[in-house]
Amino acid sequence: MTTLWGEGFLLGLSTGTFCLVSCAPLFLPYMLADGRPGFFSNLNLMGQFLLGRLGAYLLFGFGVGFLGERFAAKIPSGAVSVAMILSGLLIIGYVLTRHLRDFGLCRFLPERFFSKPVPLLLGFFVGINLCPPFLAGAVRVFELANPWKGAGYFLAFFAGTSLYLLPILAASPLTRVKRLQSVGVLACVLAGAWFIFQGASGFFLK
Amino acid sequence: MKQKSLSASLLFALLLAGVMSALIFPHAHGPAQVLAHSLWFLFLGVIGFLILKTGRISRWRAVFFAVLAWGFLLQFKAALLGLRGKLFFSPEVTEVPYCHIAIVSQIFNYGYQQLLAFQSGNWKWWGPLSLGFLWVVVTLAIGRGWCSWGCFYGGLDEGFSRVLKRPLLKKFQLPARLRDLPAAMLLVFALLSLGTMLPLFCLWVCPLKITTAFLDPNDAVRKVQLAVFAAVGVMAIVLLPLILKKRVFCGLICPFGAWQSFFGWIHPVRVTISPNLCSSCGLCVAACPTFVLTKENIEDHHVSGYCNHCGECMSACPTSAISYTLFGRQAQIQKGPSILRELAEVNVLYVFAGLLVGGVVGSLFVPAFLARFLSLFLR
Repeated sequence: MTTLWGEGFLLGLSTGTFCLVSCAPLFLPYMLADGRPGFFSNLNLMGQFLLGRLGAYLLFGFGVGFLGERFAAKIPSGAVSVAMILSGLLIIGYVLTRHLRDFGLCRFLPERFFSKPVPLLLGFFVGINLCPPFLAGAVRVFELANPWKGAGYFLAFFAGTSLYLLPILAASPLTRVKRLQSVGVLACVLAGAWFIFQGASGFFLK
Repeated sequence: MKQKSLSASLLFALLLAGVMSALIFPHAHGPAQVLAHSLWFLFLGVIGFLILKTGRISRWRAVFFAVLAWGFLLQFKAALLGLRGKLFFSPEVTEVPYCHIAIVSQIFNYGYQQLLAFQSGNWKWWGPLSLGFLWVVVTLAIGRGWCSWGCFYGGLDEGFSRVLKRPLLKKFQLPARLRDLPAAMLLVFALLSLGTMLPLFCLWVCPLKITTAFLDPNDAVRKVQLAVFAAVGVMAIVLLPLILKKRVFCGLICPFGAWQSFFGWIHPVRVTISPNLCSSCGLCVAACPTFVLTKENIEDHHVSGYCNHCGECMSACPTSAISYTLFGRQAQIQKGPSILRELAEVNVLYVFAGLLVGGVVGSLFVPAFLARFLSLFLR
């Protein structure tokens, strides 16, 4: 089992930049917009985000380990597109209910929903991104045909990739700057729109 | 800016044209090129003269700026027509244009490319670094003023914003937070571009591809890109500048503007509102073409870092409360000949630097277009 964890961790370490470039466009604007004062509160935010990613990874690892190739066959081809659309909608919903209230759209949105679990759900949806390293891990887990080993492998993979997300916390002192909070809010809208567009284009622009 | 005497204005014009010719003339070959370069230096000198003689910085700067942009557009289109026989589409164009806006909107990609170039020792890949050096020179010379004095795109929306005498929508007020949109564009597109290793801003948003050839719309994605490009172009460069009399692309979209406003602070020249002279009439707020000045700015006499030193507010101010300063302070020689005292002030020196940088940039393409045109008659 230790060897397996080592494999997953090393795969994560060698390909974690994919995770950084997939997560940063959503998480960094979110962190700026949220404007939490101080490193530890932003660390808390990132912890929730990572927990969401971990949930997606474990679900995938468990599923692939349990069902082998059958699980992969059951993943609808549009799952990644749906996850992208949902992450885009989530971050735009968050911004509309928390920061752009003067637009009046928050009346139509469940405000409570967009207050607490946003980083967790954001991490989950971004974690579903079937990027090349993720698929490389999946191929290895197919061979294991064991759900627990699959989940363990993806747990280690998650640990390896998560190290690459930590540099985002270097932007923590910037979250106190009012102007950058405003930039973060607009960046959330732009990034959200881009994710929705990319997700939708998965269905329409093949 | 106060109007200068005839002799001071003439000396300024001669100095400007002289420095330009010393820098650029050695590269002109053949009668058409020599004549074209001479006309360009003359044009610069006339613009410099008119700015000083009338004291209206922005009016004459805008003429120069529009010529710069249209010269760039015409030269590239003429070259495309000559090389490929097409103005807009070409199957040979496989990459987006390479310009300062493209670089900053994928700045992390360029950083990564430079790392690879450094590791490989392949010096051919060091192009962005030399452009980076040029950027440092320009930033040290005019700081945030690039967007109003040197950028070869800015004159497009500025030109359209000056077609009508008054804005069609007089009472339009931009929500203050939207002024941060270019910075948000910069942040998001730099991060997204790194994820895809593609110049996403250029591919999907930038309307300035009009200056070169477009990627062939041979699939659905390209067709959508073309539609977005056309929509952003028509709205941000033509229609909204016409309706609002504002530089909408420069003020609300361009990521390079945000980049330059961030790094431009290293240049000592600022646009400053004098609290003693300001009557808080708000005319500068209405005049500011890039949505930088707001009522709040006027109340605390502060000009935001997004200001790109176009000088429009200075012309609009009835009490001459706004001027270029050195870190917020007026600096002027008090002794010596009157012509020297007239010229050795921050306003004049900044105009000189702006026209010089813009003139050097323009000399890369405006004289080339003129020479192309003149060669028709000089054969």
